[in-house]
Amino acid sequence: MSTNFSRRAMMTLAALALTMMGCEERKVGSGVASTATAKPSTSAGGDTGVPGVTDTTIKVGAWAPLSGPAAAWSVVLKGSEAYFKHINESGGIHGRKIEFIIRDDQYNPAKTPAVARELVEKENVFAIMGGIGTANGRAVADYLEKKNVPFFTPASGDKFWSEGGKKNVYTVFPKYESEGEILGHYAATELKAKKIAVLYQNDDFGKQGLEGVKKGVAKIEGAEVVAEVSCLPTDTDLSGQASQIAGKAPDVLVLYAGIKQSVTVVKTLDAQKKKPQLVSSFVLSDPLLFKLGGESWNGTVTASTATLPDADDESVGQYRNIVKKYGGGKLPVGTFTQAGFLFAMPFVAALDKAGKDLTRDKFYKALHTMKNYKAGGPHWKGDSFGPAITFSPTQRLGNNKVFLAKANEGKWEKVTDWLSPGGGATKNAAAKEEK
Amino acid sequence: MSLFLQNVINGLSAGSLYTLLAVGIVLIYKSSEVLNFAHGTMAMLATFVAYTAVTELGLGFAPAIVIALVFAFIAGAGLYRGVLHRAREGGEHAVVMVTIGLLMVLEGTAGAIWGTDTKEFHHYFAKLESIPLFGGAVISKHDGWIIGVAIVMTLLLTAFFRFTRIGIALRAVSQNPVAAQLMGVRVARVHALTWGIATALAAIAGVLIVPKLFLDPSMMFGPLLKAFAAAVLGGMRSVTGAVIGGWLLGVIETLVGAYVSTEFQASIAFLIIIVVLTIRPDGLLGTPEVKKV
Repeated sequence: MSTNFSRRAMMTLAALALTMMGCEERKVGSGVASTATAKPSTSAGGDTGVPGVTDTTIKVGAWAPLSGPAAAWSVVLKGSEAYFKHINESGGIHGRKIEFIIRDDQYNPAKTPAVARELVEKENVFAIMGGIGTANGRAVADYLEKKNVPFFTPASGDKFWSEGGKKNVYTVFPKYESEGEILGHYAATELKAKKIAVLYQNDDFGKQGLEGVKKGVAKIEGAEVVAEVSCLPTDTDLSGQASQIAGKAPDVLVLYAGIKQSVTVVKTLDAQKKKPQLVSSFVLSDPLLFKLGGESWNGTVTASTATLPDADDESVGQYRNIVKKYGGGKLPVGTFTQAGFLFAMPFVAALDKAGKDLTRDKFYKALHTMKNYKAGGPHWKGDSFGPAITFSPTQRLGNNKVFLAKANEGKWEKVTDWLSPGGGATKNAAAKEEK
Repeated sequence: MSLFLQNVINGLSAGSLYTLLAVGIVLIYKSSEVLNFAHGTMAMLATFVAYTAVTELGLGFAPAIVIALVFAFIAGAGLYRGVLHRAREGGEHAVVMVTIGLLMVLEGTAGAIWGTDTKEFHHYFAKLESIPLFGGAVISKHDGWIIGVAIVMTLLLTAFFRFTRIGIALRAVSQNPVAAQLMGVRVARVHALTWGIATALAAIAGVLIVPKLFLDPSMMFGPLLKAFAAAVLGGMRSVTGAVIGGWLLGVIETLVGAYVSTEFQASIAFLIIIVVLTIRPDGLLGTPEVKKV
């Protein structure tokens, strides 16, 4: 009788892989990550009858990859958290403090529904703000709509959020497709690229970015997308991808992939002396990329949605102070935490405009009053450091503009003005405006 | 042609990581019959130790590696003596559950100590400059180090088993623990030693590869699955098999990614295993195990 150890090993391995990829809880102690206020609110006493709202608190929830391969993106919501702390310390909104609850879904859309249910049904949040990930948000979009939970700025540029007809969703996150179009157009015109390659994450985020790039490139004669190479957020061996790109010898490589995957492919190409000019989505615009990508990142052109983090600008100065004061000494100044502010600032402004008797309906109506809204909102001096925002019952995408910046020795330098898709990519004029 | 050669070199580099981990998995399995799913996690912990030695204690890279290796050896041996030695009495399934449990607990612990954000650990081996090879292909210094270290470690290990007293004792224990014990070999100590050596190997893999994978508590999960695949492919009981399995897997994976489809690249490892185990249930270099009834 032969005992087959190999086969048994393989079965265990398969079972383990399934467990890890599936929706089982994998981590010990990765439940409640953090709350913005020191003491949690109790639903008894001062209850207003509106979910998540008491006389002294407003509960807001979000999911983020606090652990796992995409954990770098969770810094975005740590930025929002610091901003909420600033709001709370400055007196809150109509006397209420924001209690921000971030739960870990490890960037795994199979885990997001459980997290969302917990936030809505157990924590009883007033709204979700900034849940990270395209597939993750999509996994719970119907559920949140059914429960009429406001979902403000899913941290995703999926066109679904602005075009999907969800009445509870409002976003200030530009569409990946529009951004891709701008990047593709810029590569083919300003960068004079003839052959363009795209590394994309094989999901809605990457695919819509890719579609956009193709759209932008298609308008320019003589330019074409020569390679469309996919990867997954879990991939660690990316030499196949690098090889496919190197084989086409492109002039420009556009990046719509995870941070680790993008850096690994770029470094592999660089080692082979085959690194083309890089152009990246703004989800890859944080200074973290300079750290991880090192020398290889120099000269990269990226999209950006906010006045650059190190700019000499009063609004950005306030942002830097808040990050320093409330970031626990560890929170980095960069486009990721900036994005966290840009999601949260119009959200807080709408909470403020909705008045003392906050309800979800009043919150939506307050959003609809925002027309070309540039202000920084409550407890903020002057304008926001992001683009102007406009919402209406039919316009759920508050902003669809980005500008481009270029990496120079570990710093981004602005090279264009705000750009819109559809031929909006014009001259690189406004570099001065920022400095 | 040069592109094909380039792919093979890149694949060997990816495969060297699988090899270094797979050899440890096989050593541990051969000696103590434990499928150690926490093997990658131990590599991650040792890498964090090296990182801390460099960034917090301000030590040089060489002393940091020594500290990481000593830590890995002690932690590996300690893990066996403290936990697995007893858990083995619960049978094979209990052991698997314990090592999976360790994977999660240790990963959570690392997250609590160092945080779950991605860190960069750029060190001496991680040089990007490339050396031209024949046929127009190049190899980055980092890949050169990775492949070179994997080869040297494999040779050292083979020599160790063949020519040293401890090595021979290790082999004796893995072949027949009862007879070895009767001949005066202290089996439990030999097991702990194997765990220490295997974990130190994993530490080398972790430190070598970290500039590519970046440092975070879950950095080794993907590579560990591939390393297990390599170990199974090679027969689970053969060090040479694990080495060949690791390199084969890395090269095939890269070639599939480059010429077939990147979508399929991640799953190719497991497809190969299913095919191999169906045709050769004991792996490429494994020998059928016979138990008398």
